[in-house]
Amino acid sequence: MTTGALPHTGAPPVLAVRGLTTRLKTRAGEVTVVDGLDFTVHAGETLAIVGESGSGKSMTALSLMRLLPEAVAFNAGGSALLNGRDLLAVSEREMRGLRGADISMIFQEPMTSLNPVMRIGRQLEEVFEEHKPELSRAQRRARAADLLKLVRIPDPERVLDELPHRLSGGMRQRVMIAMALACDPKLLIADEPTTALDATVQAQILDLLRALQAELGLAIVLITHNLGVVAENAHRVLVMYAGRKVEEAPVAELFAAPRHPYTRGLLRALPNPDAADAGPRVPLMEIPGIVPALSALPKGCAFGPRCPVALPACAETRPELRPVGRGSAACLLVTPAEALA
Amino acid sequence: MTLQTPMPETAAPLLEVRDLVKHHGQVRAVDGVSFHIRAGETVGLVGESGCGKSTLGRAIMGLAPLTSGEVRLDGAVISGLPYAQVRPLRKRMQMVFQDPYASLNPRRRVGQIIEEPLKVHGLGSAKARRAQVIELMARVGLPADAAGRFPHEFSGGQRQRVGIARALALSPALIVADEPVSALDVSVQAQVVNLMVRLQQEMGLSYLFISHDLAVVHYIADRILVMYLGKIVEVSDRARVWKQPLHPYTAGLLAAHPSPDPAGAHRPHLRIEGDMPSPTAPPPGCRFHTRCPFKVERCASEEPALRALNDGRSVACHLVEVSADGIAHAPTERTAAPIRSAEPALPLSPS
Repeated sequence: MTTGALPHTGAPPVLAVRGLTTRLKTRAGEVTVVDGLDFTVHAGETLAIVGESGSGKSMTALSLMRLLPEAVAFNAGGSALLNGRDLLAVSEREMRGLRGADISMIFQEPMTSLNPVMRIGRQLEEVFEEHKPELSRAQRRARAADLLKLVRIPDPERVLDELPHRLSGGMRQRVMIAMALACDPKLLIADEPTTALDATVQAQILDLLRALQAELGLAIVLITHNLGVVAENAHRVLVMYAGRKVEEAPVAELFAAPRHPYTRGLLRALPNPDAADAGPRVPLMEIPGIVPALSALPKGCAFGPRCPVALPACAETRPELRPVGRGSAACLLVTPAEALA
Repeated sequence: MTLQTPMPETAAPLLEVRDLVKHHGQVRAVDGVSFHIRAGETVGLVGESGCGKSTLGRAIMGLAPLTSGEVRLDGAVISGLPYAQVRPLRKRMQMVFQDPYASLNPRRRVGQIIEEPLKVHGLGSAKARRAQVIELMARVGLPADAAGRFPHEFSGGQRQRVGIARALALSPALIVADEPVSALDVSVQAQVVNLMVRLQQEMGLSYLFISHDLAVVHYIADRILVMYLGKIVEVSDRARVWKQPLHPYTAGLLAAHPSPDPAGAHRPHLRIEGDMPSPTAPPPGCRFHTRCPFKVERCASEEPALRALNDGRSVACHLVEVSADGIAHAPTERTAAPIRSAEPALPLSPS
């Protein structure tokens, strides 16, 4: 855990999201995949959005990037101010100018995001053609080489002339990061950036992202299911369940004192070799049941049916987020007084 | 720190793999691997993609012919035999796959899927088989009405339970589980891992548990094999692999494991640079030398053998030294940037 809470100097956040709501059109009718999400990210800060499949974490990223096809999804409320401009309200034309310039995104599988039949250099140069048309061809090539150096790719001149399949998964993800950083974005959204990579390569890529953040003052939204990745890379953590934020806290506080029963369950479900001794195995803590279908959410707390400490009231009332400690949690059982005790 | 041995060392191992080689054309996926599994034991096989761990699992199961080497079950050779001879032995070994979506026939009902191995082996009357299916479903925690439903009606975790029930149908002695929880969400992973541990206790099963996740392997396995580019580089045990890795690759692998525990921050910080070389052209000498922070000249020319240490572990590294008192020292302990700066090397108790 290399990071503590980031002291904010009072500067406004790079991104301020308020009430972000995304609805998806399905055969079974409309479902809310992101439900009233609030968060901020500051320069130099990493906010991790963590959740299991179906929690809405990737939908949040795609909503902010406006990459969801209109035929299947639409914004149903909220705002997302990036340095004062509302990403959800600008025209598609303006959004094209912002994407890749002010806000960039990297994805889980770099191979599917790269054009397999275009050389790496050409793909990087395309970014400049879109956003920096004033550059000459030679300048674009030089910038592309610089970008590969920035992401610590050895022998960049050679790599510029390679096709993506000739590179390893780790190298491809470095190329994606280079591409995402081509126009000095303020905000990088990284959606499971290391999930497809091996452990040793994942560690290299996360080291790189941390170093680049320190060099460039990037704000990063890190979307992941891996709580270890969160602990070692985020400043603040937002836990999502069934489309909603159920807890948010500075990273050290979340891991030391998780407030929401779902967060506690997630942490205890993981085997922890660092704490284990050679004694007999203690069964892992299970969260019974499965994530509910968004089309059939219970009336009260969405986690209620799986919650080990649920009260009858939890089935009736949907808990609102309330401040607790230095964060917030959406659970009827969490009260600020309890958190202070 | 005693190694838990479910059976006396002298008993013939349940499974014995001797110098197994499996090449796919130019790809030297498994390149000379020997190990054994005792009855009731869980052996974890850990490594990154392309190290050959899945190929090894499939080769042991007889799903692909060996290039050379042999596999013995209860002391009898089972590799290289004609299918008719292998078939009765197959009851003793079953497999659980990573992807419960792809390994279950979507057009069969769950009851039929679990019953299939019994039918294939001609065991029991239709009525007896159905009763057994009900019992198997209960054993793995599936609801009784699951038998009449199709795989797509279940969650990933439930489908993995179906896969496990199918594997248990023939009362095997050994289950080869290839990344059985990797496709599952964290909250569901714990359910399946706990189930596998419980079934082992109830039925005396042995597992070969193959995974890329060192934390899960560490949790479930008694002994752990670490594989790199087709070779085993270290054999360790649950008590020591995490705190006293010997091979630099093992140390790098666990340093790379992102820890959700603040205590993990005090863990050694050893970064393995670069990527795994292609298994079509493994480096000469030690296969790991191209990425090893401790390599010396010898490592590039001379391949280290997997040598057994007198503490029960094995390691394939020139730089691991055994001092006069019998204690093995990882190369990292002697360098300027030690892996475990905070804690001195623990002497291994002779027990």
